[in-house]
Amino acid sequence: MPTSPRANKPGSPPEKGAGLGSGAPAERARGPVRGPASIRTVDRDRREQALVAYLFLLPDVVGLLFFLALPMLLAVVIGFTNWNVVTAPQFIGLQNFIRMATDPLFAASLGRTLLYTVSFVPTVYLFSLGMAVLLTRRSRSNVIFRTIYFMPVAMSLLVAGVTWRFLLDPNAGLVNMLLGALHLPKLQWAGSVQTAMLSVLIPAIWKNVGYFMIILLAGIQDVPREYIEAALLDGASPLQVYRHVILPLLKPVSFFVVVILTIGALQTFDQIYVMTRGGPAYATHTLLIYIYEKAFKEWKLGYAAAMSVALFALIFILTLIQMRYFRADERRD
Amino acid sequence: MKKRNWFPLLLAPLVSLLSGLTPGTASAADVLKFWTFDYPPQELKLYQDYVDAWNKSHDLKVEFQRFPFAQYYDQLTTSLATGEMPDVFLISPSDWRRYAEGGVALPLEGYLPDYLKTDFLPASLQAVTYQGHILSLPFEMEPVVLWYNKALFKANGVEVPTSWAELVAAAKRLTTPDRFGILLPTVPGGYQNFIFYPFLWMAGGDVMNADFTKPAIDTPEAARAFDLWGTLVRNGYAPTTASGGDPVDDRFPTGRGAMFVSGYWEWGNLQANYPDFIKDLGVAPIPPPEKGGKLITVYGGWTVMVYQKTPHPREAAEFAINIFGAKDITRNLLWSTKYATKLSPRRSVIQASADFYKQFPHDVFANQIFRTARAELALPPEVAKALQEALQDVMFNGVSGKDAAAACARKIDAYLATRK
Repeated sequence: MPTSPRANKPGSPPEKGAGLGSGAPAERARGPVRGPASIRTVDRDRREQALVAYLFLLPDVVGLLFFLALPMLLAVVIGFTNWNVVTAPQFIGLQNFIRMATDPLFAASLGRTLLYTVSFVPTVYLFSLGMAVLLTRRSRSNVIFRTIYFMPVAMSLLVAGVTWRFLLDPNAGLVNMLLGALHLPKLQWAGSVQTAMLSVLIPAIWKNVGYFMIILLAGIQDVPREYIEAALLDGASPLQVYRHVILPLLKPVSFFVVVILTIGALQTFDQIYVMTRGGPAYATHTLLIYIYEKAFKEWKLGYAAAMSVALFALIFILTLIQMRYFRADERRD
Repeated sequence: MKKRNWFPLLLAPLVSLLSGLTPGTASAADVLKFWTFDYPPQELKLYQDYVDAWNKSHDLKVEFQRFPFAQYYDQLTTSLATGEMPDVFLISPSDWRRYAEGGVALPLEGYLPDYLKTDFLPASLQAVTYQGHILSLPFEMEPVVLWYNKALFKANGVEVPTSWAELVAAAKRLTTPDRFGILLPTVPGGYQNFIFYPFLWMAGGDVMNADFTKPAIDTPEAARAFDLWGTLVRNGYAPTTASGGDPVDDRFPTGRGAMFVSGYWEWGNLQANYPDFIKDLGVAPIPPPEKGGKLITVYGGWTVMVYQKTPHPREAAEFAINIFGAKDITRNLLWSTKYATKLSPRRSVIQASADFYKQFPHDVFANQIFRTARAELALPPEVAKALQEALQDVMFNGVSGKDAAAACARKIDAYLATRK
């Protein structure tokens, strides 16, 4: 039986030597003592296996370098140029980055993106966690509910966008009809600068909660029963079990969920573009919409690339901060 | 001695590579590439039939590709950046100028047959001329009008408005909790600008001067046009949100919008999807600010452009011109009067479809609307964006027309300064 919960934590790194191609030779090496010829054969087998593994990986690595690393590198390079698509790019040093610092639309779009992120990430996380907790118990009804909650994930973005546009229609929408029935004021939703961000946040939350619920649910179900039973035997209430046993063990999964949500929120584009095109009066005009417009509407590829680099840097820094926070928290535990 | 098995070593990269492969199109050898966006099946078939006929009679074959409308311009931009542009493609007025200024288009005047030069309406060719060169060929004109619901007008005792004061009064009268008096586009973009132009022009305003060197929008006339849209939206006579796509709006034929500022294309939508509504359909010019004022509207319509760097300029020009510029006008007649409702920029087509233009609502378009129509402005994207922001500000941020016009002019000035 493990002596500490840490030993079996989900997401813990595997033990040394458990990697690809090391298991079989290691077992063989622990067998009866062999002569120099056998050792040479073992060494040769291991080299061959490693070579096969690397050859299998080679096309993917080349693909990654070519289709991921190279475009990223090119985006950085293009960020230092003035490129209008039709003429050759001109190197202009840091001008695009300096312009970014003084561009009020960049600042405003970034501000809206951050507002979207700080609203979206905690809401989706808390809803997903709450639903995962409620649906942990294995029962037929829970399976049905899990399926229902997961359904929005399977729905196409376009269908979801259109559905929610109807639901949130200021005049004929079901949501306003319900507000009216409850004698609450009807909202203009996407038709008002005050509520437009909310009208794009609600569908985004609705569409994502099911997916992250499944991930957190898997994390919760991975928690060894022994700890929960031990805590219950010691007199802990179900709430205390969640607070002091399950949630600490869920930290690596939570970290993954929060990081993925943050990255997704900072890169939000499709759904907002489908629903509002950044309007009204730029109330939902996020940074990625701004980058897209600069690149594809105005042909300012250099400036758009520079903003993409800035967004990448922001995501990278935020991920590092989150990583440090979770690690520090883990150490404290 | 154990024999070395090389098979896995050889197989590994092959299997891995094959697993990542997806079926693709065969590489195009020496062909003309022709791109459009996805049209409805009948219209698409017209293009396909032309391509098939061309391919039967020419050694240089045409490869016809269609893209979803939303991705069409992105595809063109990406192709331009990577040097993979199609030889022939469609372009709309809202994006025409940057292609013209960017030197992307092949001048076509040298390839135009004489009969076609005289057949085109002069204004339609002028709209696609840049620095003396004809850079694309128009093939359709779709003017913007005021569609209205005759039954609702009658039930509410409202007459067709002939001034802006009457338009606001009619919109107010026809607005109920379940219905808007008038439907205007709300989504920021080129389409919203397009619908705004008639209001701006009839007020006596414009966006820029004739040679696009100065803003012309910071005027009381332009401010008045902005204020009209602001008034209609802020008072709730016009909606704040779109219903589906802007160019068509199902709130109009379903009685949830009494008036609708839209184009000739709406007829096709109503015929196909709301045939029962047509008995209640009325069409009129957009009213001028004052009763008896000069009527002006705008027309849009796609044009055919040839890529300047095509390796086959002669064949590409011939292909592009003959889509809708052939002596035989059968395709034009199908396009304008059967598959869609458009006005043709060719005199011979208009004359040949005289009977068609005697029927409602085509008679109104041909006899009243068309003679007041100006070509859509081909604005640089930065200027178009400044106009969008001004419209959004008056409609949703409570900004006055005067302040919106002034801010728009400042943005245009800032853009023009970068060009110097």
